[in-house]
Amino acid sequence: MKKTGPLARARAPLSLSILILALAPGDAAAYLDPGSGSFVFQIVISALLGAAVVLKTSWRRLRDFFLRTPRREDNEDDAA
Amino acid sequence: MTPRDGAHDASFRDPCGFVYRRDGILYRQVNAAGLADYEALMSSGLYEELIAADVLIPHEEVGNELAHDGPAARVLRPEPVPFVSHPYEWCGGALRDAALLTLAAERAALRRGLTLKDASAYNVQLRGGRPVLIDTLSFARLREGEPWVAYRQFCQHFLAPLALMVMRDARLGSLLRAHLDGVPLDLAARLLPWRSRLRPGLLMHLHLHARSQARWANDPGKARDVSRRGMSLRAREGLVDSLESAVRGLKPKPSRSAWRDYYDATSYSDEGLRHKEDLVGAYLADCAPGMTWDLGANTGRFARLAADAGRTTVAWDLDPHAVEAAYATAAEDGVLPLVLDLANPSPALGWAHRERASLAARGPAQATLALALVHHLAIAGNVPLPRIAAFCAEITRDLIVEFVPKEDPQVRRLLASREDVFPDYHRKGFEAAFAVRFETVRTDVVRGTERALYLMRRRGD
Repeated sequence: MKKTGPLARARAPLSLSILILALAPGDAAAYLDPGSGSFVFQIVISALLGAAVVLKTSWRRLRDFFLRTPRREDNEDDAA
Repeated sequence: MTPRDGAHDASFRDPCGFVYRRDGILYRQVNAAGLADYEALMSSGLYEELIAADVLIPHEEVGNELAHDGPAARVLRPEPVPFVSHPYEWCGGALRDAALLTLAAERAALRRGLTLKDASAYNVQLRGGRPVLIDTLSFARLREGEPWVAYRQFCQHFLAPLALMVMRDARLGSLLRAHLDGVPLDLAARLLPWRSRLRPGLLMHLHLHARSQARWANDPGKARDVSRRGMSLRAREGLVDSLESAVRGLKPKPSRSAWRDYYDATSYSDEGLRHKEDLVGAYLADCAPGMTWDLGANTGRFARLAADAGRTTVAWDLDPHAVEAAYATAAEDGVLPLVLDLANPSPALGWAHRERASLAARGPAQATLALALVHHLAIAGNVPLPRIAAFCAEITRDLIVEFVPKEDPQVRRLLASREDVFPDYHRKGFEAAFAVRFETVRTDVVRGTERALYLMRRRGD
């Protein structure tokens, strides 16, 4: 609960920022040369990295489901 | 030396802004090109989050009339850092903490629709024994689908040198001195032991990453095509997770090296050591307040006396293991422990020799401790006493120095395997050499030894 709380709270500003980004014109943010090999490599491993995040999140949800006490659930409701 | 006014000599690569000094105060100018990203940092809540977590250096906005030049959109006054250190002076533990700090900043940024556009180790400084990010303009708005622009830089500045220091040899941190933009990944891959491939994080981010760089180096057009496939936000988070677990797995191990054993093996009795501490404490109380350097500090026993007296204290030592041991307690001790070979101190480096200041250019210190040091420089390093005095006068105003005579077991040990070509190495010769640059304020012999301590003040100050 502790770990998913801030994430959940961050979701609203995040989607808003992505919307703003989609509307904003491109600019010269990246002054650094990322290196073509380093860029491609991230794309190549991105499926693996994404899957690891899904796995981690699911594992945490599962763990929280079994370990969660009713009292902690109340707190989460309060926070939401 | 008071830092010069004007633009900082390492702050010219990013068109979004730069740091400069005006009337001795450090400012950061945000150019028009960097304004939108800066405002995104400030309005997204990321700035507050990073300040609350002690990740980013705080700043305040001041009037644009304090701008350095050109199209200033904002002028910031960042909180100053007491002493600027370079990553090639850090022990493995400090580099590891700086890496984790950088990843924490990137993770927080991703959650708010921003990202780090660079991940240079030089964007981190050590303050109060903990790292802090000093580059407010490193944050940029996230462009959907884009891989991490700073991924290569992170691996070169943090992961590669840390892996080499932990898995091969702690002294390899000095590679960062030769490679200012971080250790090239192909070089790291060649130097790392084979077993580094058994760690998934190092296999992926160093070995396979290096191969990918070699594969695509001459095919940028095709690389661009592949890059268009994009990278999801989830994968970006996964990248930070994966780098973090690779860094966490690299813990510098304590090692009993020659210097760390020094306090145990030294000829001091408990009483002698206590007397020496009392004398150093009393001498320090006689020095004007200001920055204190301890040269050859070992694990920082005497540097702590200076820090306890409220002085900004840097403890320098040749041995990365001794520095590592000092770093473990740096936050509570208030000492900044750094690696330095005094026989070849940190030079001026980078573009036009001006990006990274030398040791001397970061001084002079108000007070310097040189305890059980001169005999190493003079006898093991063959540096004549007048040259040691001249260098000390370049880097400090007050000097607390110990002279260890030839009769001392430590010096006898140094002379055991070599010819004694040091006819002037005696107390009178030492005093004559240093008298040219310093006047002696006070001198005492440490109880139970033949070692002498001196408090000296630079002539002309």
